[in-house]
Amino acid sequence: MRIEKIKTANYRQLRNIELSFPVDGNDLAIVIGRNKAGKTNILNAINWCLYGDEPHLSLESDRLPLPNLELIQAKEDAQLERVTVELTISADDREEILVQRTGFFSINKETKKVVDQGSELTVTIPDEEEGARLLEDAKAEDYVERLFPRNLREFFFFDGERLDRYFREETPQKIRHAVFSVSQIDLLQAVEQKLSELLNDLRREAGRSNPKIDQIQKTLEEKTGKLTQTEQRIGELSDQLTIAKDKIKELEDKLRGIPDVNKLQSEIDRLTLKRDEKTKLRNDKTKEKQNVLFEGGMTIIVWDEIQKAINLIKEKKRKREIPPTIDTRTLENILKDGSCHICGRDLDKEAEETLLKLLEEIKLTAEIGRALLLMENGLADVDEKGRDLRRRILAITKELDSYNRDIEEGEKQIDELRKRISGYDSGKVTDWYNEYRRFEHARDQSQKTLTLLQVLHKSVEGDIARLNEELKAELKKEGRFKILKRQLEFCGSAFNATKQVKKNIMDQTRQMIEDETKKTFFDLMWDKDTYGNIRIDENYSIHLIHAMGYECLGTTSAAERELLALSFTLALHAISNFNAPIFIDTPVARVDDVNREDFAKVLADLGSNKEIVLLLTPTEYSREISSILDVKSHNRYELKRSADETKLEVLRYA
Amino acid sequence: MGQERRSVNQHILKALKEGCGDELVERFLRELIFLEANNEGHWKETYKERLATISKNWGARDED
Amino acid sequence: MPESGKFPDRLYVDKKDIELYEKLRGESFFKKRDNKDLFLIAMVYGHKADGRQKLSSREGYVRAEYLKSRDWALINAICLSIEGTDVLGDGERVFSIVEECAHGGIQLLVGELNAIQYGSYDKHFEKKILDLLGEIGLG
Repeated sequence: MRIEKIKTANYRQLRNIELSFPVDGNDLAIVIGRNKAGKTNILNAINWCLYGDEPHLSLESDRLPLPNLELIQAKEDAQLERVTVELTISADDREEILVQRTGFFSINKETKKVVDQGSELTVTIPDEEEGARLLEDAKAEDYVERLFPRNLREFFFFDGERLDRYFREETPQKIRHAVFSVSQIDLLQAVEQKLSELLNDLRREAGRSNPKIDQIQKTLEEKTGKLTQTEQRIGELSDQLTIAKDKIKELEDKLRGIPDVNKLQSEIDRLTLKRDEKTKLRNDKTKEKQNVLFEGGMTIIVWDEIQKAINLIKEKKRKREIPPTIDTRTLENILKDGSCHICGRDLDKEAEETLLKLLEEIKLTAEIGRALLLMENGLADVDEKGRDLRRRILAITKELDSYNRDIEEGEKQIDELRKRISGYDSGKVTDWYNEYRRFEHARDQSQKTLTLLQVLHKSVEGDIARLNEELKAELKKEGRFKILKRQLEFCGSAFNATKQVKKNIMDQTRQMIEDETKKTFFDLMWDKDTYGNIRIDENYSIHLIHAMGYECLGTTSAAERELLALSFTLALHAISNFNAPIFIDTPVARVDDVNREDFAKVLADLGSNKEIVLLLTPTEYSREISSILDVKSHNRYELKRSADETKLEVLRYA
Repeated sequence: MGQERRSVNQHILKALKEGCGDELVERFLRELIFLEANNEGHWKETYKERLATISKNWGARDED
Repeated sequence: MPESGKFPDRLYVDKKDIELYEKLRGESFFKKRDNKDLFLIAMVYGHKADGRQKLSSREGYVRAEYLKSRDWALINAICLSIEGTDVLGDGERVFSIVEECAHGGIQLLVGELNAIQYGSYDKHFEKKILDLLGEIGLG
């Protein structure tokens, strides 16, 4: 199938353009235009014509209304304006088919506000009797759907950026869906579903006149519903599991060599706390040492004096000079009484003076003696501490050294850990690790649930088989159900066969697509020795295997990624029933210079089997690239904007 | 009539042939698939009618 | 504890020494020490270096009620060694002696401090004491 011509009227900046792509040997066409010239809007125009939407709109275009701006500006009357895109399509050597969409817009002549009033799709097909037949509305849409199924359009019309992002954005779900649609397994799916419904109807019919059959039928319906639910859930979980595994792999690649910053930071925090605790203990111990040194030091400085005092007290005690043996109160009383209490004689003046002098001396001695005795405890205390001082100083110093070592060791470890995490955007890395753990958890959960569901599935399948046997036996008992029984059995066989065939086709189609993708990739690949294999696993994840045996999809160049995406697309085209054209917007913009020419050669050669239309910027269309493409292309256009940017000119080059 | 008929992928037809295990079942499913491909309405009546016709021949071998 | 009334209620320092005591507190080893502690260490330093000096002015610095038994032990031991046992009966004399010791001692202490790198007095003092312990046979 080919797009022969594209005609637009008032569609965005493509006000009135006509691009035709007649085949002349190679089927490669090139459209060149600067940014904003309208190249991408050619893709949008095709999509809008076929499906009524514009999936490739730039941010700028998205803000603008669909009708051409010049038209809007020039609007003077209140009539509706029309925008038209027309595609001329040839399908498998038949006459041409015209697909046209006309959009209606009301434009306020003062405010220039544009209101979309809807659009109409028409398809004009050749008709043997009438020459041409017009299809409208739903019939036109059905027809277009058969020509270019909407759910496959991303494999016909896509921009180069998407080609690069293909395997980064296409989850296995989408790829499986593509395989599903392309291989038309959706048809089998529809048949399966309808047969199931039919079976239920037949059983209900039998059940209407036999309660036992009715019971079995109801249970069967319930179980069948459960089976379908379980299968659906299994499908969803398998997809989730695949997504989780792929994401885990992606994150593992990202995180390779990068430390778990969060974990390390926790360790740093722990070590810091420990260090701070030790520092506090050290500081307290330091204070203790200072106290010991201060107080003990004073004692040691006057140690001789202290020892002399201690010895003096010892000596006086030994001589019984302290405590004093004469009681001063006795002498005071004698003086007061004026007579001796021992001999009874009255005191004369001399005796009185002697006694007074004695009393003074004794008082002083007693006082001194008391003072010495009072000193004794204090002296004993400082003496004991003085003798123990060295031991205490050394013990505390040892403890301090130990704390200092621990603190130093702790700081060293903290430093090392800080160095390990420096240079990383810890926020980002933490996010990655958290994401990694989330997906690991999701994977484990999905796996667990999946296992349980698989067990359940088997059990329900067993129940259904048993119930079917019961039903068969019941039906056999009653002669009037002969025909119904036959139909039920036949329908049941057809239903089971559908399921089995569906599974076989999925596996086969996947394998065929894998083989075709591989073949195409290695045929087109300029560096064939680098890669060893391409695999599409049963979960529809695509794996590109290096010649050395490891997975390398994440580390290939843009050119190789685009080539793989292109090969996969071509494989889908080959396996599907649709020989559709491929439009690629800016195919080599993301490819580095080294591989650009290689990739251009690939694109040029594709035109020998299929309609290829490339939309290139002048930068892409360099001398080297044009020398490769021009040889294979007979249809070349340039979209040129006028100097004042208001008009678009389409130049054709032979 | 000129109405476009959606053709069915050869792989499906081949898989039906290989996987059905019974010629009648295969024929039945092939008809249904083409029905689906062309999205013709009132499927239930058509399905029932096809089932009734084809199963007549199938049932004979299985009955006592 | 000596009987109250026999001793003055406080120990005095020379007014000019207040500034020196504050300077002492600038070093971490002495930072948290109270007046009593600083007075006592100045006193032992002054006595050991035989550096007693008469006070030219007087300002109350340490209340006698804060002196503990080991503080009295140091004070009395010093006075005993200088003037013999009789001095113990004269509280005023005892205080006067130790005040003079402290007056001389604080100047020596601050001089020692100035000669040492800031923050390293701990190590200096520790070495001094350990050396002394060695000399007196306790090390």
